[in-house]
Amino acid sequence: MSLRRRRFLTVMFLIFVLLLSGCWSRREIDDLAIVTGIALDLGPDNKVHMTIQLVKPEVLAKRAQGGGGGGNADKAYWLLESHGLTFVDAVRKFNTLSPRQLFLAHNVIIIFGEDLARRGIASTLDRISRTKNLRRTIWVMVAKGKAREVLEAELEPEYLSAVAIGHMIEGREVYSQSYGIDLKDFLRVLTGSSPNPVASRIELRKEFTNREFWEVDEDGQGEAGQGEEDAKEHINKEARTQGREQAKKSVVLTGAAVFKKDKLMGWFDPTETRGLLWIQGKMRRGIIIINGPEGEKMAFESIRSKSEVVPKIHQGKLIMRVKIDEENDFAEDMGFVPLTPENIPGIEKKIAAAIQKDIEAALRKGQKEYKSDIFGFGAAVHRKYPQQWKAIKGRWEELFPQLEVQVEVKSKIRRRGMSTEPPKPGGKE
Amino acid sequence: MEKGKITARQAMLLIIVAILGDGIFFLPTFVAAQAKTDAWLSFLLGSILGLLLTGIIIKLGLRFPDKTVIQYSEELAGTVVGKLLGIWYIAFFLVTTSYLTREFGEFLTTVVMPETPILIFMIFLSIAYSYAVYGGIEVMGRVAEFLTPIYIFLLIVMMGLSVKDMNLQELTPVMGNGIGPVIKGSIPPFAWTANVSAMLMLIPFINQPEQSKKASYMAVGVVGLLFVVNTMQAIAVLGAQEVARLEFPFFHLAATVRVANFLERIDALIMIVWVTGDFIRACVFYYVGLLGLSQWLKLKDYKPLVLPMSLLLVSLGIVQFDSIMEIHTWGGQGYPFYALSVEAGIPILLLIIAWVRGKSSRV
Repeated sequence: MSLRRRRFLTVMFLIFVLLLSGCWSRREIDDLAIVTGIALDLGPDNKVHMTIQLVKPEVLAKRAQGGGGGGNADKAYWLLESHGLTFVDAVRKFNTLSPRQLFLAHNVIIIFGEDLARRGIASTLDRISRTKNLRRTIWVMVAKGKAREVLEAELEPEYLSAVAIGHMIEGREVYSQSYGIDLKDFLRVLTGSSPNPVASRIELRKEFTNREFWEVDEDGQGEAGQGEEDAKEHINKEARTQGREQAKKSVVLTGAAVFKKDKLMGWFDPTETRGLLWIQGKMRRGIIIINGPEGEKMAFESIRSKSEVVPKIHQGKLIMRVKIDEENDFAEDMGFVPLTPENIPGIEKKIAAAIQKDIEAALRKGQKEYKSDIFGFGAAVHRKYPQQWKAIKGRWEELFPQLEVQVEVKSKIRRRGMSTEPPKPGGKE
Repeated sequence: MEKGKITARQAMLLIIVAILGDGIFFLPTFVAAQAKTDAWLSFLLGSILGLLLTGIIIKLGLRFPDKTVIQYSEELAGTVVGKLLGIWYIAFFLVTTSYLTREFGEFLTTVVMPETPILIFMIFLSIAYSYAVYGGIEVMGRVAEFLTPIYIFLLIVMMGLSVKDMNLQELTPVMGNGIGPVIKGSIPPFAWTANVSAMLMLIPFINQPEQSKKASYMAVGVVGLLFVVNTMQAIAVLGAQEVARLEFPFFHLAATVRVANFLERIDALIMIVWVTGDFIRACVFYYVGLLGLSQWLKLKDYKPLVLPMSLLLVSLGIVQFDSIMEIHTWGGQGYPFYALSVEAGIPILLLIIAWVRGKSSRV
């Protein structure tokens, strides 16, 4: 290789290096506005109003270092609202409001306002599933009331309500009175043969979180001296402002939002939600409270469960059988009755009855009131009797509310935690 | 002409990725649109058909272990018919190269860089495969030996991570609509596994031609297995209707992976799989097409053709389709039949002629 050729190659390689550093679609991190939550509401003008929560990384960094001290002065996020005839129109319009480009890949939740959800969300979901950066692991939820307000909620100790709500949904399985579904599963159910999804329900609570400050304020006049009085006055003042600062909205995540096709039908309360979770086999852990042998309360923690939905055609009539097998830990005893192999079967029956009650509540509302097959009974028939399903598919909406559902629950008590008996005062005779 | 030799193992590794390359990304959508929850059965059926075809291809190839299909087609079918069959075969491989050069760009513009002109991706891919093809079969063989294990490892990692998101009841009812949709759906997978017909050109360059039989069966077997498992998973995680609706289901499968809050957003790995797969697929198709063309024209060497032909193919890739809708419609409905007419039609025809005329170059 001659020297000239080598030089030529070196220059060429250097040019390539220049090309490497840049490409068309590059985006630098400090030009990006990272979206953590999206709220969609139906505006009075019938347009989709979209609110997004954007992170201020600078504030987060400052807080992490323990600096600042501004306290509530600088929030770690800002909200932007835009509206458009369609979802994508609203999204792109943000570029007229935000100095930074939207970055959707780290979004955690998408909240639909009640009004919008009642009108139907299929068209909005279309756009969402076309968007390449919006991942299908985001949580889908419906707000009772306006979705926008949920993004403004404050959830200590997190700085970003959307992220905090994401954590709450992940932690729901400890109590199992709320529903959680991600976009991927929501779409899977919506396009399946029982196209009635269920989403999380989130509600805003307007509540003062720090009541003590207000009590101090009320009986603040004491026998204290002047100097102390001043100090107290000062404290009160601070407490009052702080109290007001903290008198922010908080959210509560209970129940479920029930859809029929893509339209919101209504809400499930925690009991009905739990019934639904039992049927769907999504129950993880939950507290079951029954009345013990002496009328005292006994609490059990369900730790493991399995459900099976089996359709049966009996004398030409379709019957659904829901079979549930579940195991409990003995969690709490308000009386002083120890569990013995003799009384366990009776108590197990009571637990099963309590679960059955949850399930019946869910069925009553879902089947009779909303007439929405969220339980996946239609899909179960499709799976087991594909031929017959073709015949009744068209009439399923009429058939479903009259469907006979047999519920069978088998409960077992397995363990009792770290002690054998309640701490009876004076001990056992 | 080509003087290099590869091992049967290298040929196998080349064929595996040549089939999976774009198949694993595009096929599930085509097939699920027909067969819905039974798409995995379609893949199974398509792969079994592919294995049967492999038998025919190998039988023909090993009758003439020192010649390529272009060379013996004239000998078998006479000059005119032989030449026509030859150009039919060559054109298919070249057209497919341009088709997948376009696909390569479509995927990247859709998924990662929407503003970048698609031509840029296509040119870069064509530079890469032209370079490899220019290097010859030995270079390609070594590339495959290096990249294919990584490729398959990544596929298996991604599949493994989404096991926990599977809802097995989504796979039922099995054949709820009878076997009709399954058969209809099996045509694209059959057309893809039939890519093993590239062996008709590769056999003379394998150092021990007899081993190409086992290598080909292995290649189609591995591909079939990965196809079936991948499709089952896509349906179980995303739902059959969603698979039929999504542009790239496999991408979503990886993008929804979420393990214990720390292992998520692994879709960058998808890019590695896509780029590697498409690159090797393009290498194989381009090589087979070019070498065939130079033999068809009775040239001394195929290398002078590499650059001009790649320019043609990139341009063809651009003018061939207006939109991804056209690509998908052609890919799912027209292309498989075209592919099978070449990949299955030519070897079956030639094998029958060889039998009837009792021709063979084996001593």
